[in-house]
Amino acid sequence: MSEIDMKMSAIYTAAHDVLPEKAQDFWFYAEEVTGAIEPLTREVALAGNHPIGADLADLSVELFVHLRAMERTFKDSATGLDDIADDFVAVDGEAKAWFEKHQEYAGEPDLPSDATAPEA
Amino acid sequence: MGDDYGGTGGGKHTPVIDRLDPLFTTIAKLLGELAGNEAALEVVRQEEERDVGDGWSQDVTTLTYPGTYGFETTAVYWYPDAEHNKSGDSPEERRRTFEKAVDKAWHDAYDEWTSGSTEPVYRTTTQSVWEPDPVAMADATADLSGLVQWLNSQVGAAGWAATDDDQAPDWLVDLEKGWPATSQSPQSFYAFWDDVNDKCALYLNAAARLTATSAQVTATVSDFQANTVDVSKKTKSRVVDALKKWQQWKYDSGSWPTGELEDNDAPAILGYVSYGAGVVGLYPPAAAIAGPISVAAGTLSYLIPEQTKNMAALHAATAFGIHQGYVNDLDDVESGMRAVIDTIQTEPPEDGSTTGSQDFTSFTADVVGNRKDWSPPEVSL
Repeated sequence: MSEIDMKMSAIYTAAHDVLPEKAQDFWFYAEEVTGAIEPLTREVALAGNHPIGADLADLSVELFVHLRAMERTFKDSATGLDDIADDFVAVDGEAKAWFEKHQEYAGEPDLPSDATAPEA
Repeated sequence: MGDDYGGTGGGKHTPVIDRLDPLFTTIAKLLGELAGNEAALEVVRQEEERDVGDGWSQDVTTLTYPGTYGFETTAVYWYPDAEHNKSGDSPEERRRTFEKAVDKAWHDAYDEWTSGSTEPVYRTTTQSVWEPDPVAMADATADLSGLVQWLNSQVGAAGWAATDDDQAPDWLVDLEKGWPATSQSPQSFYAFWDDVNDKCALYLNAAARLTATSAQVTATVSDFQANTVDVSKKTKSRVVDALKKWQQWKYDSGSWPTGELEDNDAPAILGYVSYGAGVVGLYPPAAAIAGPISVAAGTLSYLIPEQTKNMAALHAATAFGIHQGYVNDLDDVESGMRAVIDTIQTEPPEDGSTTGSQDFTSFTADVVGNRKDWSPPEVSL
């Protein structure tokens, strides 16, 4: 494998495969937190509106915020790397030749949308 | 308890109020019968003890007390002798008048208890117990448990390492070698990647505490719903027992059915068991990390081993006494549930986990207060 092969492969693998997969993982579990906390706080509210419901909601929101921040960072990193690599392809002949053989990396990385924030 | 409450394992899910409503209605109806007997007896006593003066005679008639637990008994009534009979009523008419008075007293009392004003008292008293759905809470807890297990799998074993670490994945090492020179700060990305492990460890603590607390609250709600059903069933049995004693009384067995002079001091039925410690011990944060937490709603009867030991309703035998005792019991169930959740909120689990020495409110406040430290570092490519 030539140096340009290794370089291009490393960047596009990260941008299109590894980082989107990590973003997807964190997106999924951020969504799980949102999906869990809403019924949980709703039912605790019915149980005499106990103040523990507010603690449960606060802690869930914090977890969600951090998981979503992770997701966003992975997504931004994937998009940033993809843009940098695309720029490189635009100015470097060897990179362009490599890219033409690897059209699976054409276009933007397939990334999840922002995780849905809880209303709690 | 058990299957009727459903749970995350599938099966029919019957809201607990669907079990309670028929019990409330039955209890009100049976109390109506009991009150009817008491009211009828009052008329019988008044007739028996009536000061009639000279010229009156007594006779005995057979009375039929109505209701599911109705019975026949005898009672005396007065009628004037012929020479003193100013009203002109015959003894037969006197007898019918007396029987009608007894019957009317019975039905008036019965109607008072069964006209729809009794059940709402029971419903309202226990609303905060029966209204939440522990099955929905258990499902939410299971989802949070999945998050805990995933975070646990990330800590120390997912290649979140610096590029010079043996644990660093090949693609990351290759990326460092081939990183474009046009990038602003590849180091920021490596720092972020290397930090994910530490962040996941923090999130794991929070998720475990959240999941454990969720499980504790779910189990508590589920248990107190089961407790409410149990208390109601026992109260119903108590009214039935009282009505059966009325039936025995007709045979002059000597057992007095009403117990009407018995004090009802309504001791707290849940005052002797430390539920908080039980439920916290059952679902500590460390358990959430050790394996998936499953809260099988409505199956935790052992948390309340003596839940009906001192039921107030079981100390009474009159309609009002049982009713008042039952309402007191339901009040105790409601306040008992709140007290357990108070404990879950304010007592540290002390299970040896990272968060074990903090109460839930303090832990949450710390997490909220440290938001910046818990956020992943920024990446500038």
